[in-house]
Amino acid sequence: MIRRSKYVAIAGIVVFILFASLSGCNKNNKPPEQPGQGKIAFHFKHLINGQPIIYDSLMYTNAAGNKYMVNEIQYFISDVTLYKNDGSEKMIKDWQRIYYVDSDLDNTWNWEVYDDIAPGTYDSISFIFGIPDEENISFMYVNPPERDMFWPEYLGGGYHYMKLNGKWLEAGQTWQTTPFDFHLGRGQIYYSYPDSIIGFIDNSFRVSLPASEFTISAGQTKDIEIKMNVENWFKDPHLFNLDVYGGYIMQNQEAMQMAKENGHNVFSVRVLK
Amino acid sequence: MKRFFSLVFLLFALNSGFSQGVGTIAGIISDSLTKKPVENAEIVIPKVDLATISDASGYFQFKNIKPGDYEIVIKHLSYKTKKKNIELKDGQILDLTVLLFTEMRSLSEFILTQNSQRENLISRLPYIQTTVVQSTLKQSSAGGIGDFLRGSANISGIRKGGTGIDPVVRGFKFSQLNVITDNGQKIEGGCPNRMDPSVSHIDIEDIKRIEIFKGPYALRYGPNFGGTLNLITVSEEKHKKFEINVDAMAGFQSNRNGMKNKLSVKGGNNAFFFGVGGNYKQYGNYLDGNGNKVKSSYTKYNFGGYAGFHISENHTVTFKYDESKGRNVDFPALSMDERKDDTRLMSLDYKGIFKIGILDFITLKLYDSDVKHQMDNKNRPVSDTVVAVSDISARNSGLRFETGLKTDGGTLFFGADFENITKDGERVKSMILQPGLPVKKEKLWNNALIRNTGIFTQYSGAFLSWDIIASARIDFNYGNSGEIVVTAPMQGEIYKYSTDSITSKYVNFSFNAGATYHLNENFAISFSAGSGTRSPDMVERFIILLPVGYDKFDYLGNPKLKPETNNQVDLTFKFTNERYGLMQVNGFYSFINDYITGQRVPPSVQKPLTKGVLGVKRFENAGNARMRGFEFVYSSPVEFRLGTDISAAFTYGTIDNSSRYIINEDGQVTGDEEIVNDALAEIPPFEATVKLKYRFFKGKFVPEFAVRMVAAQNHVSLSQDEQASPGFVTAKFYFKYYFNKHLSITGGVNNIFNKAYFEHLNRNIIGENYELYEPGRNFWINLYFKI
Repeated sequence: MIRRSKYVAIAGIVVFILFASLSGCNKNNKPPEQPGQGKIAFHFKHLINGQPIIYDSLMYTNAAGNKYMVNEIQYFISDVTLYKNDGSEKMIKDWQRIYYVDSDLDNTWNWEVYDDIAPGTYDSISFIFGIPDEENISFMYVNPPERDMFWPEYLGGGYHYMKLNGKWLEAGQTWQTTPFDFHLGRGQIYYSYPDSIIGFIDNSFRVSLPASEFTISAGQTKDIEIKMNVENWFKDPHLFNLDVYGGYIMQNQEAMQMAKENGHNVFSVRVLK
Repeated sequence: MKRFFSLVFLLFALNSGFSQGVGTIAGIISDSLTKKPVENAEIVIPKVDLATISDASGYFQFKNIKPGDYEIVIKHLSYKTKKKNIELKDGQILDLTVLLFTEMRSLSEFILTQNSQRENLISRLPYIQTTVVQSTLKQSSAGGIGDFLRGSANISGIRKGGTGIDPVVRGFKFSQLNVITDNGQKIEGGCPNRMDPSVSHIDIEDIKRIEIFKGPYALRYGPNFGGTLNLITVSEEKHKKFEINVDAMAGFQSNRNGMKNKLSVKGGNNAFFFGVGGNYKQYGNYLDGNGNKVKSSYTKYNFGGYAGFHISENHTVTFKYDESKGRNVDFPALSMDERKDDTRLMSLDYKGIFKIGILDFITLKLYDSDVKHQMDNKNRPVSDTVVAVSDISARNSGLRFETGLKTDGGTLFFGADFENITKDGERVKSMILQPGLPVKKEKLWNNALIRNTGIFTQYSGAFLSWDIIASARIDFNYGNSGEIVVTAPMQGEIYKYSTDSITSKYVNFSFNAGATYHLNENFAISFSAGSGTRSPDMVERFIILLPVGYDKFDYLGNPKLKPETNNQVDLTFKFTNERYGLMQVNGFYSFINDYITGQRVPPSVQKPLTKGVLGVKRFENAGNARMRGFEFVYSSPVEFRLGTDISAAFTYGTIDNSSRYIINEDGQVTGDEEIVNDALAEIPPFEATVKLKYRFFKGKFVPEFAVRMVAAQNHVSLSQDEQASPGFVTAKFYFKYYFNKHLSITGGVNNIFNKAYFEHLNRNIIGENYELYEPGRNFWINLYFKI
């Protein structure tokens, strides 16, 4: 009898230890503690003449008089920088330094930025349109949609900065449209066109957004709308006539240079709240 | 450390103090029919609590036994237990000849490990040690070792395809387990994604037995963190006169329309022994329980042989050579398939039994494991724009030395081991959309090197009602790699893996001690405590952007990792009774320091290189983690015609502190949050198995029915985005039929009810939102011939 109780006691100890070892499994998920920090979210809009684009509709006329439609717009912006009124600046890079926007993919139209933003008043915002040369590395995107923005290796590699695809009525045409691929990316320097390339040109450029002052307070998410005014790609300072430059400009540095210089006032900003 | 060694030597000294006997009992154990020596028989003298096992020549010895009458019990799994009464006189050296008679027994791993806890030398270990013997392996349709093992208590496996299942023991996996062949040979798999874990390079048909040591305790076989698997393929043989035996097998499986064949010839005489042979396996795709075809076909074959020489009565040299090949092995859960694997294993062993003074034996092993592994994504959907081919060469060469010093009732082991692992290989990519254009070359490994030198000691002994064991080892580990760059011919260097220094050096201490207290001949209770430290492995240190985790991330190695340490205690309660059977209950608690796991790296720092992944993770030490669990096994007495085996096991793992990313509905990472006591990923859920069998014709025909119940796993890692998995119940039936000494048959049906299910540890199928399901109903049969 004594023996049996001894075994029962030992079995009891074993069972107790088993249960004890399995206890203490409470999950305790704490919310993030980011005292004194704000957040920022960008919302991308694509306009022509101040109105949201109606895609695939031959209803727009650019400054050169080309009648055109837009099918899709895909582009990268990088190194978004916020300038504080105390002289400091914050570049958005903690999670993503390069952001992709696609008019066909609504999940790219809103960018909730990972980085914490110090509260205060900011004078302005700027970003690089496209991808700066040192960051524009072939094969760095392995998944669509970014992957499909690849810029051919023989033209310099890396990725398109923008694909603005549409159609226009060539001079003399009344209904027969011609596709245009208003594509920006690395430019080439030709020794003899089109076979002999002796160098490449970084066509990415910095855009400073006018009237982009805003204030962020701790715990607040600031919503900022970034608008691409597509008609401006074709004017100021250069009149970009599709009849002159044709539908394909990837190997035409002169045309890309014009587009690059026109790009300074393509974007505008609106602070939402 | 000092205390530990003091304890060892104190126990050693104490043990010597007990040895005041004046007689010797020795003998040779042989098979009654073949007259061959019987190795590994257990010889026990219950009256004085002494036990030993016979060596390869069937020899055993007890020294310094006091004069008197004794009963000696001789046990072996393949033979009927024999009892012998003897009288030992003062100064006498009793030389016994013991013949054992064959007994057909229904073997299960429970019986093997727990049969006669009091007397089984191995099971006297104060932690869980399980041995699976060849006859058990034959009663299975498993195509590989990992596939077979995951039917055992607290052993599971990670499935990525039709074969190459990677064992997980109590939630410990990969290099947290020490997997060796023939007591010391290590194999470094070629695939960074573990298509070919060590166990996949050994054919299951070549296995003589598998020893499984759970916990960080078995330190004689190398650095040990969570457990050791020892795959034994060769055993020494001694024949009185020259003879040759032929073994052949043919197996078929219905579901996969697969077959396997084996042919081996072995023999020898009293001076030498040899064996040559090979295996061939060809399996098609299998259908899961839903009738969906899972791309899992493969072809594997191997050939090789061994030759051993008995230089003298007690000195043996054995050379082993094996070449194994894998061809077109599909891995639907990985981004590539194995196109070609060529593995060459060589080893040279010396074993000397001295029995001079306290010097009992010396063993020396030299080995070389050379793996050439080629993978590609050529059979993946054509939507893929990139063709990638990886060629990897992995080599592990090393040696192990051990000596055993016999004391009365105990053994002191000393030894050292050394391994040199090298790995080199690259992935070549070409774009389908830009034919003829330059390819990109990514070094997956650039002459990566890890060198580990270890020194170990172990003492095991028995005193009165106590069995004790203590062991320790120290490891000196060095790692280095060439510069890691990614190049494209037109652009030159396009990626460079930046690190201040890619060299790492570690000095690791591991130690443990444990004891078993025998309350009486039926009950025993064991306790073990130990600390096992492992250096980060090659993948954790040097991997360059490959999706090697269970999640869809490219992983980045970290040469600056700290070693990972497992501090564990085990408490085991054992019951053995001839009338009631065998029962074992074990609970363990493991406290892991510097737990190594992947942590996300922002795309602004590093973008992934593999199509379909979500991002990049880098291996980091993530603080403390804890595992706890239990296992229960019961087996009815072997003598029962209607036999029952029951097992149940559970592991629960948590990590103290971790974080996860907050992801919005657009899939953007917008912030992060801290998690306390998050679940560890890839921990198998609770499971239980019940087996019923009946022994017809004195065990010549044994049908067996098994039901396995697996609970849902809802305790999943939030920080690793692990998915929960549902529970399931499966049933299988199998039998063995011993026709005569030339022919035996095993067969059965797995997944009788054609249930559609997947194990929690199965990886997802790449590119589809579909789990990798287990095979549906499968009829199988194996025929074994012996001449």
